Amino acid sequence: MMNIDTVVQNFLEQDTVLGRRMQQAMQYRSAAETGQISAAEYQELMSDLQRLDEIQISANELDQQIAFNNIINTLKSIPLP
Amino acid sequence: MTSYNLRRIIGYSALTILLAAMLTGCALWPSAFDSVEHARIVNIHVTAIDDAVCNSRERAAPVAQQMFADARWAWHYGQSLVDNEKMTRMSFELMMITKELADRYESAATVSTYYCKNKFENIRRATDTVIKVSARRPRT
Repeated sequence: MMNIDTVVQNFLEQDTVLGRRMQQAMQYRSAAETGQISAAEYQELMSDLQRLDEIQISANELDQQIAFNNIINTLKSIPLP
Repeated sequence: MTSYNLRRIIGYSALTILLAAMLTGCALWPSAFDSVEHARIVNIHVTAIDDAVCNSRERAAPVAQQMFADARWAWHYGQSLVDNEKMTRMSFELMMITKELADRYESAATVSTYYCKNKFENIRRATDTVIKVSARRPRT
C-alpha cells in the first residue's frame, strides 16, 4: 500500500494542473507549519483547491457542450450531396 | 398482464423519458452567452488583481465584501437563466471562495496577509477559468 508521501510525490512530479495544485497545497501546509497562517485559514485555502477543481470540471463540461453545439450547427449548414 | 410485461413497459417508459430529456437538450446544449452575468464575473476578476490591499485590513475588508456580494449576485442571477447549470455550479464555488474571505474580515479574527493574498490569487484563478469558458458560449 502506498503511503501519503508517495502519493503526494506522484502528484508533484506531474506537470499538470493537479500537479501544480499539489505544489500549492504543500506551500499552504508549509505556511501553516511556520505559523504564517492559522489552522482555520489553512483549511480554507486547501478547500479552495478542491473548489478550483470543481470549477475546472464544470468549465470542461461546458466547453464540450459548446464544441458539440458548434459542430452540429456546422454540419446542419453543410448542404447534403 | 404478467409482471414480465409490466417490467418491460416500465423499462421502455424510463428509456423514452431519458431519450426525450437528451433530445430536448437538457444536457446537450450550452447556455447562451449572457453579458450581464459575464460582466459581473469579470468585475470580480479585475477587483482581485490588486492584492496589495491585503497589507491593510481597512482596505482589504470592503474589497472582500464587494467580491462576495458580486459572486453571490452572479450565482443568484445565473440560476434564472435557461440551461445554465454549469455556469451556476461554477458561480456557487466562486461564491464560497469569496465568502470565506469576507466572513473573516467581518469577524474579529486576525486575517493573515498570506491568507488574503492567496485568497485573491484563488479568486483570480477561478474567475479566469469561468470568464474564458463563458466567453465561448454561443450568442443568441
